Amino acid sequence: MKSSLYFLLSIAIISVLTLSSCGSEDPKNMDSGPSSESSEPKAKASGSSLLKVGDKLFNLPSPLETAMLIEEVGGHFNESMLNPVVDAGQYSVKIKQAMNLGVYGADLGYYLIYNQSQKACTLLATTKKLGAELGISPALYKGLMKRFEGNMENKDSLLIFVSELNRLSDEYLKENESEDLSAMILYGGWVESLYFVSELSKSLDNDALRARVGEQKNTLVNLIGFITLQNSDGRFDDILASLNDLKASFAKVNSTYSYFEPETKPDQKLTIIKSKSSVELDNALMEEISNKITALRKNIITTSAS
Amino acid sequence: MRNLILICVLFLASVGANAQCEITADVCQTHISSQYLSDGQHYRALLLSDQVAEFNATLYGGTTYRLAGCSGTQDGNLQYRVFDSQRNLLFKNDEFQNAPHWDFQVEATLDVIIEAQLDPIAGASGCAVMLMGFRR
Repeated sequence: MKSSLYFLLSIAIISVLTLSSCGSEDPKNMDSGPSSESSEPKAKASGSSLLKVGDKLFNLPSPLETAMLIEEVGGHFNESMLNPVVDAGQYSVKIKQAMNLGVYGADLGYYLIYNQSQKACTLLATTKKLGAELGISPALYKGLMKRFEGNMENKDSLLIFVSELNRLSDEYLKENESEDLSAMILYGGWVESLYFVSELSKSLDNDALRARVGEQKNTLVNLIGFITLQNSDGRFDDILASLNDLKASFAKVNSTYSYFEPETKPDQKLTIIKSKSSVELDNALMEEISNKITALRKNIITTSAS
Repeated sequence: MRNLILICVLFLASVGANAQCEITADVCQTHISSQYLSDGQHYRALLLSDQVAEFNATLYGGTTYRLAGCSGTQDGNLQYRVFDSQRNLLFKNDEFQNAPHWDFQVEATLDVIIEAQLDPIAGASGCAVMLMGFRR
């Protein structure tokens, strides 16, 4: 028994050493694998929780990108669109806390884009509480709050701090096997930023805004894919049902895509992607999507005290 | 007893891999300069031999994105390719010494598939980290 215990522990140590040394400083000493041009079918990587198999990685555009678009098209600051700041304790369930951390993250970006740094600072305190409830290290927020308070007049710096906070929170949750919470944060942020666009579209008829809504067709597919990966116990069934209903509306969006050869400029480490695309959705479809987004958001932000 | 040992083995392997991912993420973050805002997400996958991590994203028109891909503790260990939704190849970094980061100026919104794998001469296994930043 003892010898098998030593054997298995040896395997464990070798596993750790193998994984830790994969970025060896001396590539020549490493095993050679097949050529990158190999036509053999490639196996899928294990997922980001490291012990799962067959996962894909999904990206959702940052809510900051949409907030920037809203400012660019001339949307005026409208605080009534944002989720009112409530005591973080009113979101008592972890899933709800995560979703609203995503919502407030989008609101934070919106405040910053419109130079409302004092209000953003107040909101940051609420996000800190929600983050702490989710187990995100308070040290992450502590450092950021200090940098934030020291740069209140510098919008670009504040935007960098907030985007960095979001990335570090995401990294922290994924390292701690809490991808389900990470998915809920992304879900909340995505719904909130789409809510901004659909609300603004009611008073401002703008092609870029309308296009931004239509462009969410594939993003929604990615979001559903990501949440589905976290739904082995069925606890996100209701959310997925709502998102699939929304997907049915997005299926009516007419989208076109034409490939054009990209131009690469090696000296600038830059590739210009010249492909063309378009999306079309009429007023009725815009309203249908907008209503569904509003309903999703209401479910997310409703507190236990409501 | 056997189950307990197995759990210990898996736990140790997981801790080692997680620690390596953290180091790789720190290395990779240096490629997202202050000119770019992080998209707020952290993408990582444990890659073995010739496995490929697939990563789906939407890139908005009028935006320039920076994609950084890393594995291990030094640059150039990760190869990545960017395809459009019709599988037209848009870029591959192995034509540029496995450049750890590259910028993409996007004229019109498109959905892309990014595939990442270890450079065969860089190692047989490792944690791949991809980060994305943007500016308008």
